[in-house]
Amino acid sequence: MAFRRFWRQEHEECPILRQNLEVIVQGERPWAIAFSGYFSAGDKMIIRKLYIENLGKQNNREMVFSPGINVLCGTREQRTQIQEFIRDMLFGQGGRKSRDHEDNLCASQNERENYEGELWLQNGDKTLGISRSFPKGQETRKLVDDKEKKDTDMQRQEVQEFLAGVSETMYEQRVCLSPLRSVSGQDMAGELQSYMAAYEVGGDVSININRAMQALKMWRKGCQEHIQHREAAQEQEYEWIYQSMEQLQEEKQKLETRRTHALERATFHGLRQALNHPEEIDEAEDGYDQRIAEYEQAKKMYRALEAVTGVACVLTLAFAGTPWIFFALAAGALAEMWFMAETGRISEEMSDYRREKSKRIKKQTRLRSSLEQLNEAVQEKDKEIENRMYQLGELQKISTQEPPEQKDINGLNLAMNIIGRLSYSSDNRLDGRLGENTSRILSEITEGRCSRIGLDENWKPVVETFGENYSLEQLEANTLRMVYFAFRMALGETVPKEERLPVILDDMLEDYEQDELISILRWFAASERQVIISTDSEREVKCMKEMKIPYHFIISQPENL
Amino acid sequence: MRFIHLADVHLGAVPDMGMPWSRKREKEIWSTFRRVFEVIRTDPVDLLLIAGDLFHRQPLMSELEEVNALFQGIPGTTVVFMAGEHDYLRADSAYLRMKWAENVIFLGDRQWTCAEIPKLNTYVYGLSYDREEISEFLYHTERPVNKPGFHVMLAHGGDERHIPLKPEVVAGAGFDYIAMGHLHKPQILAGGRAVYAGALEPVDREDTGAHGYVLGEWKDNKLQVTMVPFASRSYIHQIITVRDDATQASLEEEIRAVMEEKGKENIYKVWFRGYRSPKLMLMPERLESLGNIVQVIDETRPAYDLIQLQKRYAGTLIGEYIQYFLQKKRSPEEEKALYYGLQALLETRA
Repeated sequence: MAFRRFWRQEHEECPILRQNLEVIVQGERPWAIAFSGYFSAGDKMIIRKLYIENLGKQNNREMVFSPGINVLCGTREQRTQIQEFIRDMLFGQGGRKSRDHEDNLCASQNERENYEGELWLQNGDKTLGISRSFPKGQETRKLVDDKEKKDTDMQRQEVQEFLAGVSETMYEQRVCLSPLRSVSGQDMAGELQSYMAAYEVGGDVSININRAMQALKMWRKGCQEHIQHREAAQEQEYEWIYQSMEQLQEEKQKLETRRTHALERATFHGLRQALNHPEEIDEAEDGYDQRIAEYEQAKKMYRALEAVTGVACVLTLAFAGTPWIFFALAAGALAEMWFMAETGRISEEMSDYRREKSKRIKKQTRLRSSLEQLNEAVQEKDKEIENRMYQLGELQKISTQEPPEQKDINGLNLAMNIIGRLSYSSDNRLDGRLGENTSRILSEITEGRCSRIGLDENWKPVVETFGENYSLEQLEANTLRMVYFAFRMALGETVPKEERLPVILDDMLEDYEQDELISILRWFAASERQVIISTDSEREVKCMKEMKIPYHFIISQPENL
Repeated sequence: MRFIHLADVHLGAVPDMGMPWSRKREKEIWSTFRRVFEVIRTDPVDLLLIAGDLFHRQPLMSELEEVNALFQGIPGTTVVFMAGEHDYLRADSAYLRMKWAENVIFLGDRQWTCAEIPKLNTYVYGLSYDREEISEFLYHTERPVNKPGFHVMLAHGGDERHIPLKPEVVAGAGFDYIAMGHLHKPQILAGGRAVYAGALEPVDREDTGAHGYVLGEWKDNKLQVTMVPFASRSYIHQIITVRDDATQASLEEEIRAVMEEKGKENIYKVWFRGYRSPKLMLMPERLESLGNIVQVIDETRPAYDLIQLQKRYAGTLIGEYIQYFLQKKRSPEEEKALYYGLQALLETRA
C-alpha cells in the first residue's frame, strides 16, 4: 500500500514517469523485481527529488529521481545548472569561486546567487530534506521519518553523518564522473596514468604532489636567497673590518720599524741605556758638568799661575839687575803666551764640551720623546686593532643568530616531510583495495576479457587481458575507457562507512562503443547504486529500451519536450 | 643650579652592522654628542653629568683628546663623568693617562669617591667600573656626607651583572638625585629622584621611543627634571594589519605612507599581521628596500577556513594534511608548515 501511494504521488508529480512505469509493469518478472526495488532505496543513499526556485530558467521546478537509473536530458547548460544545484544544496556555495572554470556554462552570477531550493535524500528508511537560499545564506535541514510522519531539525554535523562523511571533494571524485579529455589512445593512456597516479598519492585526482613539492621548494629557495642576501651584506662588513685590521697592522708594523730604528740610533750614539734609564742621562750630564768643572778649575789654575808669573816678572824688573830683566821679560812673555794658549785651548775645549753636552741632551730628549710617541702610537694601534676585534665579535654574534627566515625554512621542510608521509596509503594504491575493486568491476564490464589491473615492477599500471599483462600505452582507446570507468566506479566504493553513493555521469558515456555501452548499462542495472546519466543524446535511452532496462527519464526543461 | 644628565653615549658603536645606514649611524652618535655642547654653549648649565658608557669600548687617546676638547669648550660648566662596563678602567686604559681640562672631574677610581664642587655647593658621588661585570650591590651601602648642598649619585647599572640596585633603596639613602645610566630606555623612578637618562642615541633596534638627555634644575631644595628628546633618529616598531584584499603593492604603499608620516630618517621594524589572500606571498626583501627598514616579520596567515577546507577535502591528502595539524597544539614552525603545505597543495591542484 505504501508503495502504491508513493507511486500515485510520483505519478502526479511527473507524467513521464507514469508512461515508463506502465511499460515496465507490463514486462517480465525480473523487471518487476527491479520495479519494486525502483522505489525502495534499500540501504543505499539516493537523491529522491529536488525543487528549484529562481535559478535561471529553472523556476518552481520539481524533479523526482528513481533509486535506479535516471536519465537527465537537456542542453549542457541546463544539465550543468542542475548538477551545480545539487552540489550547492549539499555543500553550500562557500567554495563556489574556486570551483568555477573558465568555460563555466552556468547562469550568470546574479541568477545563480539569488536562488533557493530543496534537496531530498534518502538513506535506508530515513529521508533528509535540505533547503537553502543564496546569497542570504539561510539554510534549514530536516530529517523526515516516513513511518512516524514527523520531521526534526538537524545540525550540520548530523547532515555530515547522514552523508556518511562524504566531503565535497569526495563527492566530486566519486559521485560526479566526467570522461577523459584525451582523444587519441596515447594521450588517453597518459591522462589515465596521471589520473591514477594523482589519486594514489593524494586521494584526489586533482592534487599534483610534484607541483606542490616544487612550489614548496621554490618558496624555500626564496627564503634561502633572502638569507644569502643578508649574509652578503654581513660579508661586506667582515671584509671591511678585516681590511681595516690589516691596514692597522701595517701601520703598527711601520711604527714598530720606526721604533726599532730609533732604538738603533740611540744605541749608535751610545744613548740606549740612557733612554731606558733617565738617571744615566743625569749621570752623563754630571759627567759633562764634571769635565767642564775640571776645565774651569784648570783655567783658574792657569790664570793663577799667570798672575804669579806676572808678579815675579814685575819683582824681577823692580829689584833685579839688567841682565835678569831681559831674562825675566823673556820668561814672562813666554809664560804669558803659554798661559794664554792653554787658557784659550781650555776655553775652546770647554765650549766644545758644552756644545756636545747640549747636543747630546737634545738628542736624548728628542729620541726619548720620539720613542714615547712611537710607543704611544703603537699602543693606540693595538687598541684600535682590539676595538676592531670587538666589532668583529659583535658582528659574529649577529651572524650566528638564527635568521628570521629559518622558521619559514623549517616550516617548509616540515610541510614537505608531512606531505611525503601522508601521500602513501595502501588503500589508494592499485596494489591495494582500490586495485581489487577496479579489477572486479573491469572484469564484470568486459565479461572477463580484462581480468585484473595492477602495478608492474616500475610501479606503472598494467592490465591483464586474456592472460597477458599490457601497459596502458599498449591498450586501445576502447579498453582504456573501460579501465577508466572501472577505476572511477571503484573509487566510488572507497568511501567512509562503505556507503553506496549515487553516481552522476556527465556526458560520460558518449564516446563508448555500442557494445561497451550495453555492458555498462547492464552493469548499472545490476548494481545497487542510483545512477543519473546526464546526456543530450538519445543513445543511452534507446539502448535501455531495447534491453528493457528500467530507467526514469527527466527532462531538464519541460518546454524542451 | 641647572644641570644636564646624559648616559650611554656609546661613542664608537656601529649600530645595525651590515645595514646601509650603519656607518652613518656611527658618525651620528658623535655628531649628536657634539650637538649637546652646542646646546650648552647657547644655553649654559652649571653641571654636566655623564653616567657611564661614554664609549662603546676601550677609548683611544685621540678620542679622549677630542672629548676633552669638547669639555674645554664649555669652561663654565663642570663636567663629571665615570667609566661604565663598556669603557671600563683596564690597566692600559687611556682614561688613566689622560690629563683632563680644569672643568672636568673624572671619577676614575674603582672605589667610591666623592667629588666636591664648592662653587656649585654640590657633591657628586660615584665610581668607575674596573671590569665588565660587577654583581655586588655597591650602591646600596653608600650615603652622602652630612653637609648642606646638592648631593648627586652618579650610578651605572641596575641588572644582576652590572651593579644591581633598587632605585627606591638608593633614593632613600639621602641623595638628592641619582643620575643613572646603563638601561637605554629613559625612565623616571622613585618619584623623580632616580632617573635613567637612556641612551643619547639609540644603538639597538629594540631601543624604541624618544632618546636624549635629562635637563634638571635644583632650586630652593627642590628638584625638577625634564626628558629632552635629542636623538637624530628613532627606532620605530610598526604593526601593519593585512586584510585579505591586500596586495604587495598596497602593502608597500602603506609602508611608504607610514614612513612619510613618522619620518623617513627613522629606522623601522615592521610586523605584518592578519589574514591575507592565499595568493599573496609577501616578499620581505622588496619591502626592506623601501627605506630604513631593519627587519620585516611576516606573521600573516592565508585566509583559509581550515575547518571548512578539512570537511571539503576529507578523505583526500589535503583533508588528512589539515587534520594532522589540527589535532595537535602547533609550534610556530608547525603553524608555518600547515599554511605553507596547504597553500602549495591547493594552488597546484589541477
